[in-house]
Amino acid sequence: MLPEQVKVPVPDDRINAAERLAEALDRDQVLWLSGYLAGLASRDADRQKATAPAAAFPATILFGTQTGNSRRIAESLLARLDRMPGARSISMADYRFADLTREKQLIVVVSTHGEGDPPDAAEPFFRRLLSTRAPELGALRYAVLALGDSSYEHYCKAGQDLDRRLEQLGAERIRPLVECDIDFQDAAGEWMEALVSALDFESEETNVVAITPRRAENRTAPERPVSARVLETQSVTGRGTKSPTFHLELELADDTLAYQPGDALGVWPENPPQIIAGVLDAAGLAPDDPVVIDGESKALEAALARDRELTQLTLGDLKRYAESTGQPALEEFLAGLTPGERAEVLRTWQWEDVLRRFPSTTDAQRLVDGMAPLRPRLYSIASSPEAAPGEVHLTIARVAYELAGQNRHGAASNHLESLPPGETVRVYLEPNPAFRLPADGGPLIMIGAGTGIAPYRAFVEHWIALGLKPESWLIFGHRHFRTDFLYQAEWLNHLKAGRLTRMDAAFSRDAGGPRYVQDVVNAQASELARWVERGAHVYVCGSIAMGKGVEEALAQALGGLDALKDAGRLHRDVY
Amino acid sequence: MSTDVERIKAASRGLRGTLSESLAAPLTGAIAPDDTQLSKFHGIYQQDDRDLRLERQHQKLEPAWQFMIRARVPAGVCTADQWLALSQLAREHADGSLRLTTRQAFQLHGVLKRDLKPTIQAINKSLLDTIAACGDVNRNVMASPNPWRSDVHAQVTEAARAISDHLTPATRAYHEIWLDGDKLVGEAEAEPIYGATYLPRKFKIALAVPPENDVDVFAQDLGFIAIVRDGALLGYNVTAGGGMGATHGDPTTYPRLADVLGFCAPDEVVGIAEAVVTIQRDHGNRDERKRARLKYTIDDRGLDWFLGELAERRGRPLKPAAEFVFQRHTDRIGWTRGEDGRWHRSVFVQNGRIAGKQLAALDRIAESHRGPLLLTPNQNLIIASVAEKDRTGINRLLEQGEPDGSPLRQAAMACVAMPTCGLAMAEAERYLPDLIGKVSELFAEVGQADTDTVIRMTGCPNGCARPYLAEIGLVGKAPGKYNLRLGGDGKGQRLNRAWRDNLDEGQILEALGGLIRRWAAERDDDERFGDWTHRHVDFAAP
Ligand code: SRM
Ligand SMILES: Cc1cc2nc3c(=O)[nH]c(=O)nc-3n(C[C@H](O)[C@H](O)[C@H](O)COP(=O)(O)OP(=O)(O)OC[C@H]3O[C@@H](n4cnc5c(N)ncnc54)[C@H](O)[C@@H]3O)c2cc1C
Ligand SMILES: Cc1cc2nc3c(=O)[nH]c(=O)nc-3n(C[C@H](O)[C@H](O)[C@H](O)COP(=O)(O)O)c2cc1C
Ligand code: SF4
Repeated sequence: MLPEQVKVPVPDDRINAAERLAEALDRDQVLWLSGYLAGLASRDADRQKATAPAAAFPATILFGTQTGNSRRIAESLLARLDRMPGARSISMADYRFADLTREKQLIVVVSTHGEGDPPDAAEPFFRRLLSTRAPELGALRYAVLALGDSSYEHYCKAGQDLDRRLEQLGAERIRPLVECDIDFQDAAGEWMEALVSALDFESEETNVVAITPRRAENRTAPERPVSARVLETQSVTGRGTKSPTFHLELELADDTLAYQPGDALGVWPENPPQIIAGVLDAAGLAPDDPVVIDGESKALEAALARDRELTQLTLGDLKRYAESTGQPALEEFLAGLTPGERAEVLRTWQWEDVLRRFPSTTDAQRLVDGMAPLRPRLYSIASSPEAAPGEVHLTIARVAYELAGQNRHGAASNHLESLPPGETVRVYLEPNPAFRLPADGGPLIMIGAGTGIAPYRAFVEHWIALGLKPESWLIFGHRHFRTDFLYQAEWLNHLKAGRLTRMDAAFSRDAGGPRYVQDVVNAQASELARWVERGAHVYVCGSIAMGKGVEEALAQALGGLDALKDAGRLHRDVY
Repeated sequence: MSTDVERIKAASRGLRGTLSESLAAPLTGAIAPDDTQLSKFHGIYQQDDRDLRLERQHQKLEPAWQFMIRARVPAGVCTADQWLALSQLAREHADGSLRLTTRQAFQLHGVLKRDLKPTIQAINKSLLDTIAACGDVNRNVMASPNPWRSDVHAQVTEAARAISDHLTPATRAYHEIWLDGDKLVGEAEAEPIYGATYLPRKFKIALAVPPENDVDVFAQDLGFIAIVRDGALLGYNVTAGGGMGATHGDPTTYPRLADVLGFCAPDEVVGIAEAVVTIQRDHGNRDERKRARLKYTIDDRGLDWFLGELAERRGRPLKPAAEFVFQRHTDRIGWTRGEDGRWHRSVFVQNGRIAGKQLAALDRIAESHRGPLLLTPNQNLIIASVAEKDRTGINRLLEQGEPDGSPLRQAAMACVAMPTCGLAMAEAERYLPDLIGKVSELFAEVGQADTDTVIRMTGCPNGCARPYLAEIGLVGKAPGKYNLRLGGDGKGQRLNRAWRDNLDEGQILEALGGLIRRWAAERDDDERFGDWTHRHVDFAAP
């Protein structure tokens, strides 16, 4: 029963219903339910705040150039569209692919290079448009001008490919494709004349129905995952990196998982084959030995893949294994360790290491019974539902290390990296209400190390999609500038376009310049204090160790963190 | 309408622009776009590793920005200490290789932005510099190596150095930005010869000592051909209006052989150089960079107009040109003996790229030999002024320090192209050695395995390896595709002509195979392949 003196904003009958529900749930489920209800509460707040769908673009001239000709044509065409406010000319390298569905009239000027290929800078746009992921473009009207050189085998091929693809996606031509040889001035001039007269200039708010995603609920949970299809796995660290990290884009089949920037995605991994093989070999057991898991019989190999934790060890696992296999040597070994040594063993050993160093004639069933159930792993979401509707992006560091000459891998990070596009993975949402964009749209300081930068990508993509421009300062740290500057090209574009106010970076393994994000905080103490005085929220994301170091530096810079914490303006997402 | 580059130069306050700010920007390995034009005047090109360009785009990383630094080496004369300094920089701040260029200069590739300043400071400490190695100014002045070979060669080298010093820009920007010189206050310094916007385009000068035309004097904006009688330097024939650069499919751009203008005395070369540079400064085309070189100025206004301008600026016309004979424009690899009886070893460096074992071996030679080293116009190296007793030691070191090569391979030249040249359309340096192997089989099949036919390949029509003078010229058009040109004379006095365009390797070998067989069968006595094709190939046929 609730203590009497608490002023209760909920009528008694609702309280009784809540208590009856709570009694039917165990402690963990009640805790989870509270998170779910909190999510529902914040969602309602979010629903009222949802802004109108972003207006469509009246006309966009998109150019793909290598030696500047297409760019110059695009610019002269734009100059002729001065009677159409909102007309814009943009390079394919800088174009936000998600805008395609909000275009009304798309005019493309593109050259062909290499051997019938698009210009280098246009390649990503081409790759995405020609892929199965390109959206349906029924509401679009378009015209393509192709630049080329008839002395080449594939004359104007890039322009032809793009013109044909837009038609395939349901768009309607304003003018037929025009191909220009190297003396393109006249042909391009005629094409512009014909096009300007064919364009629709009425500039008032177009009544194109902007496709707004239906506001969905989150009905997922660790025990109620949904399946998400892998769209793309892309390494985002340069050749030669010592911290391989990849960007994973997942497609959510239906709307049962609505997330907000700051949330994390729970992922049920499968133990990779090489880890299972190592355990089987160490235990001297066969992959198809029968076992029973929660009343269901299956092959040992299948159980080790989806039902048992092979890579994370707890003290309980070791003690249970020592008892069930009568292994005094293991217990003596553990007892002989200092707390520090024991923590290190638990941090770095995997089941294969235990079975090899303390072999036993255990059978399949006893082995799986002694192992903990497989646990999901969490990944901070690196995308915004507004910017990438129906998709979730993650930034994952592949865990791989050496232990006594043996290669050891993390389960989830390696499993996820191995999934080819089209494959599915079981996921659920782990809301993180404490790590939200400032409700008042006020200034924010985002400090992230390594994959800790993921939620900030979600933040920036979100405010861009909503047309907001908060005062924002990103402080990023990793090992090497050359290979580990995660999403560098995106940050540089945001800074150039004024969508990100300021950025500092620290690279621990490079000579010169700050080495850790803490060093940036110390060096910029007074400027940080000024931002905080103006009401800035401070976010810290990344490893636990980094979090501690950053908070100490922040405390020094701001003369203590209590004021910030009390005002709910210090946000942590450390793992 | 002056070009973008003209605007940048005019606004640059003596080539400073915002270079210092760009160098300090930590989030990108690049410098500001406008600064990339100005950095050229300081001998620095911003580039990116094109092997990684697409891969890094997918990885959401900026291009792998890196810089090429070109050090000026007038007449290619380099001391052992300078060599060792540059070799150390190649390993410490560059990609581990030293690159000898077709203008007797050094290039370092793959230098990161944060390492630019220490690298340039070290180059300056070795008394070499990078100022004006690039940009719209006079470039490295070439002279047929080597001054230790004969008294005439020594005088010609001295003349080259004098011209180079005289035409070095006066701006203090270089010292301010790279050598922490004191910051400019107020107006930028005046440039007595170049003026505020320097030249409309690069300017190239070379001095040749017959019978060698290794500097390819007819490919230069301004050239001096030493006139020697009985071992004495009488003076020079002056040449002007040479150049290689062209643009595919643009007939208004073309390679051009320099005209021989007349004769001058040895002490008149610096005056003539200044006069010709000021003509180009005042009358070169500043509206269209593709038409800005002196060769176009002369074709647009006529040779007589040019000779009149030169006579007017010098106060007197040139005397009539004297007789001269060139025999070759490639290097003779091996030992030769100078007038003073000391020995000189011309070392083969394939396409100028020195790395790994060859770099280590040449370092050891520089340490032991202590004598001068000469960079040749054909991307090779000469170990100069070696005493008789030291030859065997050098030969032993060269076993590690020199790739073996047939006369065909030694005579061949390729430009840098991929992966560092931003203008490359096809491979050159990395591909020519492989193609040479296949072409030498064609020659071997007709008993001509030891031919020294001059083959030159470039990754684009800009012509950095002077391909338009080769007996077999291969000019890059698209990845794996080259335009095949034929008919050079083996001594750089005749342009080759376009024959077949857009050929892949198979088509190149098939076309050359047929010609080589006909040449071997039909040529009279030892007529060169270039001369034979010049006479016998129907260049008009489709
Ligand atoms: C290194 C070198 C080729 C080599 O393999 O040795 C070279 C390399 C480049 N040349 Fe060259 N040129 C080199 C000798 C030449 C020559 C031969 C000569 O000078 O005798 C020519 C033809 C002669 C002439 O100038 O007409 C030459 C004509 C060009 C041109 C075309 C200029 C024109 O008038 O059209 C360009 C492009 C430009 O300047 O815009 C160019 C541009 C370039 C650049 C800097 C590309 C660029 O502008 O971004 C190349 C750097 C590639 C790299 O990654 O290193 N380079 N370039 C030679 C360095 C010379 C030096 O030490 O100063
Ligand atoms: C809220 C939250 C958000 C997160 N966000 C992200 C994110 O955005 N991106 C991301 O990559 N991860 C994130 N993580 C971490 C992620 O959940 C996993 O822990 C991580 O991916 C490793 O999982 P795994 O299954 O690959 O490795 P596991 O199979 O779980 O780990 C293998 C074992 O190896 C040990 N180990 C790991 N590295 C080393 C090493 N170098 N030396 C020795 N032993 C080592 C580990 O201690 C572990 O015992 C987040 C975690 C939380 C809680
Ligand atoms: C290296 C190179 C490769 C080219 N390949 C092709 C080709 O395969 N097909 C074609 O039609 N044009 C080709 N071109 C010609 C260009 O498309 C043409 O020059 C065009 O005007 C360039 O426009 P841009 O400056 O916008 O890139 C090529 C040009 C270059 C420099
Ligand atoms: S010829 Fe063309 S490809 Fe070769 S180095 Fe010169 S500019 Fe680059």
